[in-house]
Amino acid sequence: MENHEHLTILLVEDDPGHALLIEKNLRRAGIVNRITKLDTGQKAVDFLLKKGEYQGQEQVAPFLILLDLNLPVLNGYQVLETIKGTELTKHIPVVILTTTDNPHEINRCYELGCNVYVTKPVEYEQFCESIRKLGLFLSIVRVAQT
Amino acid sequence: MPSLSANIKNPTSAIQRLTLLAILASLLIGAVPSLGYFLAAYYRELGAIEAEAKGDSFYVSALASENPRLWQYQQIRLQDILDRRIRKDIKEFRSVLALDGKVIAESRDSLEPPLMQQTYPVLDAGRSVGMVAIKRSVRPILLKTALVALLSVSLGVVIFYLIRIMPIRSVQKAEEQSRRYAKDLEVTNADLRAFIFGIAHDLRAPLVNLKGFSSELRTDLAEIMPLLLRSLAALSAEERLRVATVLDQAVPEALGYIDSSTGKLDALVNAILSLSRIDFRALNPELVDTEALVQGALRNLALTIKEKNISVTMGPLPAVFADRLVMEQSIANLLDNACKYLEPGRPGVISITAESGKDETTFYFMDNGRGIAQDDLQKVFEIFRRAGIQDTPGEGMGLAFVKALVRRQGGKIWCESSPGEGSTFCLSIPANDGREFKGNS
Repeated sequence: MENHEHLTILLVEDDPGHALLIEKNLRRAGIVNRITKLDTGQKAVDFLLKKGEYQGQEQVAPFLILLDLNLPVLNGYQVLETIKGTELTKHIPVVILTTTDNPHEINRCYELGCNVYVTKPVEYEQFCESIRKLGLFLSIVRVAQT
Repeated sequence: MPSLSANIKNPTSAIQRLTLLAILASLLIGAVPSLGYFLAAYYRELGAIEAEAKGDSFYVSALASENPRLWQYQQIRLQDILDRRIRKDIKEFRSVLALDGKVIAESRDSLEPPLMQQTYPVLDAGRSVGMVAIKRSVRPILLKTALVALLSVSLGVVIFYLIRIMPIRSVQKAEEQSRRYAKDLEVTNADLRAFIFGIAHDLRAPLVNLKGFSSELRTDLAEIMPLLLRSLAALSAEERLRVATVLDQAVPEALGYIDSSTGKLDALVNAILSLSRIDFRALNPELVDTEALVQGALRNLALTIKEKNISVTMGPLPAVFADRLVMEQSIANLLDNACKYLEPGRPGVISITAESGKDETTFYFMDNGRGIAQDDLQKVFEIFRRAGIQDTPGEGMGLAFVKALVRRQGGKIWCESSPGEGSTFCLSIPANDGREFKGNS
């Protein structure tokens, strides 16, 4: 119970505006966890697998990953594939956050093992609602874990 | 994809006629000279033999006149006459025959069949007492005829090539070229569609920010508002008015414009995305009951129809072989427009009729609404364009959407209208697939 607030949420999002909006809404929804923001897919993979610039650093594995699909260097699908294909990270729940509402892409994400898919609607209220629901969901997960 | 030749009316029969013409011409060119040569050479030869026979017969006749009883036994002299030849190189079989056909004398070379023969009577005081017969082989003529035939047949083949194969080659070449152009065009179109789709999609990310942060600003403003109001007390009346103007008017106005503009931008992006998706969705042609679709669309418009007191008539509509969704959305859209753009103050009359042609079925959606000006007839089908008085809500997507749907289906949509009297939207769907479908089932 005393540990859960030190758990990290990894937010992989290349648009700093979106990242900030997501963070603000998570905070507003009552999430107090540390949020680590990364802006490319490569950085996300390096961070999770402790490679590249993150080599040797003592990283706490995040307990949740929020992943955008449209990312530079490695796109969201590739990151998702890597996460779900690696023994070390495959248990971490992944929430896909993207502007795409194309059913093909959504299905592809679920096939690759994403746990939740949230479209970033342009309607800001809806967007906040999605994020808040996500926050609520995270609280439940957090409670269930402890 | 329809090829170029498919557009030429009945290309198979044109090719067949051309082939027939080419065969006739080449046969004529191949056969006539050889036949002509053969006949000419044959009769010339016959003439020559006859002249020879006549010459021999002259001498034999002289012999016969000299000695009418015994001339037949003058073997040596007869043989001498027959052996006397001007052209030693031509092989011949010359004989002197009695009236009963018995051979009296002969001079024979070996001749190869087939043979030709000419006779001439031996006369004694004007009375025929026997005959001279000369045979020659036809073979040299035949050989020469074969040579002529060979030449003329080659000429015929060349003519056939010129008439039949060359034009078809060039048609095929042109067709191949147009196919290539069509393919290029398709690729370009696909690229363009992907490009538009990509742009529309990429526009969404900044839109999320615009909307999101304008909302954040609103939230922030609401948060500091009580503090500001409290500090207003410290300001002069003039300053207070300035702050109040900014807070009450300028800022909400700015945020309002940002919101409405991003809203519009969002609607456009969504419209472009849904228009692009038409091309991505696979068509699923089936036999569609259009009467049921029209009735369904009218049921959805029932409230409007009742409110505006519109009278709707529907003629018998044939089923068409098409994608159900395409037909459903097109019909719903056209009927919705017909109800929307009626002339205020005039009882609305809408009729839906159809005409089955050989190649297509055309549906007519006729109204007595406000009509569309001649200059605007094309514009109404353009994306985000709306014609006439703008008093009815709509994003100007409907007809562009319908046009894209119908074109995807291989059909056409157009509009005929007289302003103030009404418009007729015509929707034609190709019928050929339908016939095949009915034939198969």
